[in-house]
Amino acid sequence: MADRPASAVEHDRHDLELIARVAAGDGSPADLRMAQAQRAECSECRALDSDLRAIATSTRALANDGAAVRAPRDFRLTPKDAARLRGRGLGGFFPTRLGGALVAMGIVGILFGSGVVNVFSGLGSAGAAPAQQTIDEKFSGAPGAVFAPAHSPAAGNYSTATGKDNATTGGARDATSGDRSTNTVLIISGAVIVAGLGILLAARNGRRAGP
Amino acid sequence: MEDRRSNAISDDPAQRRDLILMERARSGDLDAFNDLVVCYQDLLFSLVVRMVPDRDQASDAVQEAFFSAYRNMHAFRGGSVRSWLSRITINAAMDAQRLKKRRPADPYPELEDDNWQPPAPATDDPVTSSLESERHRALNAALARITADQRSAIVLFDIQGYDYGEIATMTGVSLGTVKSRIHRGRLALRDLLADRMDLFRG
Repeated sequence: MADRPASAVEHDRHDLELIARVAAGDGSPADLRMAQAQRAECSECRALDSDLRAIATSTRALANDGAAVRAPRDFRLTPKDAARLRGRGLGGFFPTRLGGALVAMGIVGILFGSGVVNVFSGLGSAGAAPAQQTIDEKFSGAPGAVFAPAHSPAAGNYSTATGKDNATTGGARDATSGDRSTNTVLIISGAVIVAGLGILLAARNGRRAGP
Repeated sequence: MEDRRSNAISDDPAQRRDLILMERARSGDLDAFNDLVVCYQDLLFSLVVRMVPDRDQASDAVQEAFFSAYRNMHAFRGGSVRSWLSRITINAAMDAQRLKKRRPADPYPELEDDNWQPPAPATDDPVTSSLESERHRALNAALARITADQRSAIVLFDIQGYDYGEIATMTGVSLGTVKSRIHRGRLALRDLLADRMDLFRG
């Protein structure tokens, strides 16, 4: 690196894209002035400018080759191709929309499921027990209880003895039921997301050139 | 909804022919679509073969582009059928290049494929034609080594003759990006051809 001539080191600091821009005729008047100054003081920039113009000319000459390039086979569609392609008219559109919708539904489901956890746990611990207790009190032979005489002693005893436990069991049952629902929602949502992603992936892999 | 532009009568006879064929194809006439295929298959193959130098992949990309065009005829909004087909073909070529990146198996034909023959030069002078052939070979090899985006921009601009605006529309990038890709692509070509610049300096 230390052996490089000072002019080459100086050239490395020059804006080469500016030279390319001006060589292609795309520079602004300010670009043109700067490029001219750069070319005037740097022989490598002058060589670059000339090389880029030569390369552009040669690349354009490839167009004549392009005219000579023949398609290696006939790309006309057969009636069978056409029938197959007509059948896939919505091939790119429908799976993408369906996949996206499923993923969105799954995400909403998971969000909703997470919210359900709180709702159910609230019902289980705070809401369900007092409600159950009130009902139990009605059946427990408390003064003025409407249905008390109709209860068999066994039933009354059961109610009285297990009133508190019953409330707890009822709450726990609701909480368990809530957990089960939550799990179900989460599992279904997860499955929907996986299905949606699968469809999106398949549509993406299956997608070829479009307009 | 019918697009008015698709019915607009063009002054260009080729474009007028294309629009008529497209209308017939859209109404279910496969022969009309195949007439368009015959009109443009060489042009589109020559476009793709520069972008995807593997001829088999280029061929597949062109076939896929025609399939896609047939499938999406309803999406044609008028204007130039040639540009519309080119845009679809460029997308197909981009897909093919992405696929090639994922599965880089096949060599570039001008380097290793024995079946690849550079097109015959226009001149009869053996020295000139040999020089031209060598120049084209070197340039094609260098083009195959620059980035796909730069290659596409250079092929579309220099070889296919599209202007910056058309390329921007076809490739879905800004005008500035197109210019930048072309300029950087040429700088990259110059770096790659540094040892062979004597071929190009006349």
